[in-house]
Amino acid sequence: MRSVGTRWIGDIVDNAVLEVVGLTKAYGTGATRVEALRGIDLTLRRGEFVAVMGPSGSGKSSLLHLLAGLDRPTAGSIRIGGVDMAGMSEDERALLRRRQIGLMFQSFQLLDTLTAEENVALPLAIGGFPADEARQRAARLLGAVGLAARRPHRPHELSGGEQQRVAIARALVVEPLLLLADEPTGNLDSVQGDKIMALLRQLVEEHRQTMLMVTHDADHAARADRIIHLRDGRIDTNVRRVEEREPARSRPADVPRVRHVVECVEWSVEPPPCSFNAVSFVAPCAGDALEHAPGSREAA
Amino acid sequence: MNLWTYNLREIQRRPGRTILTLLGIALGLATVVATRLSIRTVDLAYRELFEGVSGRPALEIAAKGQGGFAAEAASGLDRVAGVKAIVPRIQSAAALVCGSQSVAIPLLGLDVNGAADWPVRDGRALRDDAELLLDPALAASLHLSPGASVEIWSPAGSTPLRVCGILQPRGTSAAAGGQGVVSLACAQRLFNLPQRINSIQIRLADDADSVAVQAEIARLLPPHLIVQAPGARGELARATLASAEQGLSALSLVALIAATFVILNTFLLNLGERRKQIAVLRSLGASQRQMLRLLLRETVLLGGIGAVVGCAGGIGLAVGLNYLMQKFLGIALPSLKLSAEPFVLAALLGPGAAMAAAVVPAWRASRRPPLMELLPGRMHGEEAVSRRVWQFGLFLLVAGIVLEIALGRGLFSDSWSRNLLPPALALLLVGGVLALPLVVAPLLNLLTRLPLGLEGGLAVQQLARQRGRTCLTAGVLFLALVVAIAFGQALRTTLRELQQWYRQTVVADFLIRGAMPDSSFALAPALPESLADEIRTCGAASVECISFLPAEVEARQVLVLARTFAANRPLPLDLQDGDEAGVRRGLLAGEVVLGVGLARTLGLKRGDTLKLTTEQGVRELRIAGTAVEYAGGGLALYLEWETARRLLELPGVHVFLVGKGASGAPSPEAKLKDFCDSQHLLFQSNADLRSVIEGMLDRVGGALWGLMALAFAVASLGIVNTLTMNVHDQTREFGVLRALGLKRIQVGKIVVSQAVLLATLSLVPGALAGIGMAYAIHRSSAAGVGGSMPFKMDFMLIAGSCAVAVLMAALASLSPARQAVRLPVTAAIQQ
Ligand SMILES: Nc1ncnc2c1ncn2[C@@H]1O[C@H](COP(=O)(O)OP(=O)(O)O)[C@@H](O)[C@H]1O
Ligand SMILES: [Mg+2]
Repeated sequence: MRSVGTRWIGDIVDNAVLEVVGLTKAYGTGATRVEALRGIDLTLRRGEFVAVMGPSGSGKSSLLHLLAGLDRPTAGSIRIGGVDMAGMSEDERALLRRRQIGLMFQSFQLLDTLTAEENVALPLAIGGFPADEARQRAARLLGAVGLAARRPHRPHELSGGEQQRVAIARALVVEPLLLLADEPTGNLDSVQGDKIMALLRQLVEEHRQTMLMVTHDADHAARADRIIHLRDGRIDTNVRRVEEREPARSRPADVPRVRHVVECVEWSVEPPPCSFNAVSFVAPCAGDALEHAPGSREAA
Repeated sequence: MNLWTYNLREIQRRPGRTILTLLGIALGLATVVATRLSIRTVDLAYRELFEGVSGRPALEIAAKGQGGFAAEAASGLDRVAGVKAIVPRIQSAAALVCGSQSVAIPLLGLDVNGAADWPVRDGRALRDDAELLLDPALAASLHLSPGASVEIWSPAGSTPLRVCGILQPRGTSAAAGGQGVVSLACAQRLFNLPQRINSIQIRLADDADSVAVQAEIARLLPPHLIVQAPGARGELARATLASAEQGLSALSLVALIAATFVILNTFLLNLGERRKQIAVLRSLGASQRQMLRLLLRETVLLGGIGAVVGCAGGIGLAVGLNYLMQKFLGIALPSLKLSAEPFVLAALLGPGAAMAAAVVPAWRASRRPPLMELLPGRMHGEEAVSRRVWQFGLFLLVAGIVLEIALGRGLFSDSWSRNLLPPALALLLVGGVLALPLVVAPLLNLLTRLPLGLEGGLAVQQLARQRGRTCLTAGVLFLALVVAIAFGQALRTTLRELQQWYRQTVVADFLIRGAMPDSSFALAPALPESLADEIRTCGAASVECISFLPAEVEARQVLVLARTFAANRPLPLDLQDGDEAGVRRGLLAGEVVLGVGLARTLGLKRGDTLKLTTEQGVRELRIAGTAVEYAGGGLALYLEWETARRLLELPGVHVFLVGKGASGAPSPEAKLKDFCDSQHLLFQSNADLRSVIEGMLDRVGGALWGLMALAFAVASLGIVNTLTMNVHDQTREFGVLRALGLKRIQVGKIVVSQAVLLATLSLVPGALAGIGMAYAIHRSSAAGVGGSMPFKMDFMLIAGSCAVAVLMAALASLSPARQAVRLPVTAAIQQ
């Protein structure tokens, strides 16, 4: 039976949008076998915004793809909204994505034959929504990301930042439980990237959107409630706390101050079955800049 | 927005490719529809022509040789249970002359009680024996109304008649647009049948058991009469069509297969382009089934639209075909009858073919894990052709060959052979294309070893890299080559044979007849024999008579060609077995010459005896020889005129063959022409007829060559597609090469080389398969009609087809090559 301590954790778990335990992913067999993930434990609660960082090849994308049900883990379990993905068929995973998960990609992945509005409405169309309602919701969301005037435009007529904003609207149109973003600012210049980050942050603030974002950019990661560092397929516990490394920098004015502070510090002492191995604490109001650039770790 | 928006945008995105797909489907279906329509029309027309009153249960009594008999034969038959009425009648063909026109029409002689069934729309019913009722369609086409005078040429000579009324439209009109109705007495006069009739219609009570009634009547009839379903008379006419039908069916089948592969080719290219999109849709939560449906419905939609376009095109094609035949051949064909069957067929085949082409690739695309496409920077080569594809192809090929051999060995009955030929061809073609990778792969390997220069080498590399695409495109070219070679060969052989047969058999200088007969001679109007003397007085050196009459040989309907054989002229037969002198002697002694097709069907040869049903019962006739003959679908036999007169009832003369005599003598042409004009007879000089027939053959040939060119055109569009995709894939490669100093023209050369190499890949297998198929067609047609010629492959045809294939491919590559040449280097590298 569970101890008192675990019952307390249980309360959090009930509240959790995402629970990952012992997640392992290996590609290939024999000599070509690559272990991309080697036992990841992770929990995201409702409204939490987590950034994943790590050097190239550390398994960030693999993690995201597993969470989105685009791939199957070698071992370990993933629960989204309390439902275990392990026993799900390909189509059940598709259904899960359709209803619970919003996905964003580094290269936007908009369909170039469709207008901005139609791209946003696409997940609803897949879900069999009435065309009219889908269109209205898409228009509303495009308005919310500041692209009301761009509704009839095709992706190639939009700037990179605008395309990514369309992608945000598309990811949100089904009101997903969990938003997964793989380097959403990776293809954007810094000004555009900042705008996207502001938008994402605003989502978390105003709609308590749960979000997991992979990024290479420490400034962008710093806007998250919490940063997870991956290294060789494991969560890296050796990253020092941000506050200790770097004084807070001023944030852009348009981002509201964040008061989410993760209070799981006890777990890192003796990890219970469903918790994080390591957590980096970020005080988002305090600062954005992490000193290590993406490249510096790989070089190390 | 719903998902159809997505589908429609995809269809719109590549208008060229969409049009190509549509064209492929529409073309294939148009040939199917046109073929079915023509066949159905002629078939229906003959059935109605012979059934007379449609939609009523009826039987018909006729003489076995279809001559006349006394009306008393029917006495007592009205007491048979189930018989409602007995209508004695005369049913024959005559030439209706009206102004400068003369047309062959079926003429029906009825007594007064029978005429009640033919209600009059305009004018009034028949009152005396010099009056005629006309079918409304016929009257309209000749601009005749009640009160008009016409002239009828019949075995009794020329008879003036007055049109007294126009019949009610009968819903369905007979062949040649309709018939005429006269009184029985008038018909007896026209067809030299005093006191006699040649048909008795027996109307049955609605609840009568027609089989039982038929058996009872048969028991009561004298032996030279038979009772049959009225449609039975049309058997010969329909047999005539059978071989044409077979050729057309095979052609439309091949067109459909080619269309399916064109769809497959474009669909695969589409999928290749859309992999990423598919992955995005899947990552957004589209299920596999949903994805499959999404992909399939696009092609099925195109298939449906293609079907609609194909139906319209098919009607156009059929009308055109009909028009050409009437105009150039001068034969009367029924106007087109639209029936639902061809359209239902097209509506099924269009989406069906699209589905057949798309289902496997779409299924695979819908199952591909979306991750493979979403990972950035991942380059995917096209997957190799699945082993299962060529294994399946090989299996089909072997099945086709086995079936073909079985057909060749004569393991099936006649009708089965006819029905099994198209599936055998289909197996061979589909199997051939699917198994093509087996040949293309080693050929590609061979090409990589050849010193083809820098551009050639790069082209081969790209072809090898996109092996699946290469094989399929080569497959489409392969089909075009097979079609060109096999059908080209069949066409040329047939045309050559027809020409030879025609030159041998029609040796007269002039021909005189009442009107042109229809294609099966079922509607040949006869003229009185006495005209021969009048023609002679016009200065003709020789006048010969020919008559076509249906007869029964061993329970089979055949066409008897009864004619005189002038002693001082070469024997006008394209003899296959027998020497001229012997055959001539035999014919004069009452023997027969069999058409090759009939001899083969009956399994008889020279020296055997033939059982011909005559007025006096079954007669055994010795076979003096066999000859190539196309009339009656090859089911024909020759009798000397006097023999025919003795054994069968000669209706009169269908054609007078007139010779002009020694070359020094003044030509009687002008005099003959005047005579014919004054008598409203149809006069043709042999030169005229020959130029008409040869012109017609040329046109038919030209039309078929045009169709084959179209096959190449469709194949070239496939090449354009493939090369465009290749250029798209190689954009970066070309950019790098240009950056490294390659000249623009060299980039263009790479693309053109790809096309030429692609064509080259298809040449050897295409030529071999083409020859094989040509042989199969040759053998099956030899089993049907003439086919006296030994199989001799036309190597010019093969070389020409191959050259055209390469040329078309090179032409097709020009547009993608220009696209490649114009790529801006910097943008290409950055891609
Ligand atoms: N489909 C795959 N097949 C084989 N190896 C893979 C595949 N995807 C990722 N990997 C490997 O797994 C490791 C983690 O990759 P990835 O998750 O993409 O890292 P990141 O996104 O952090 O750069 C890398 O070594 C990569 O080469
Ligand atoms: Mg990555």
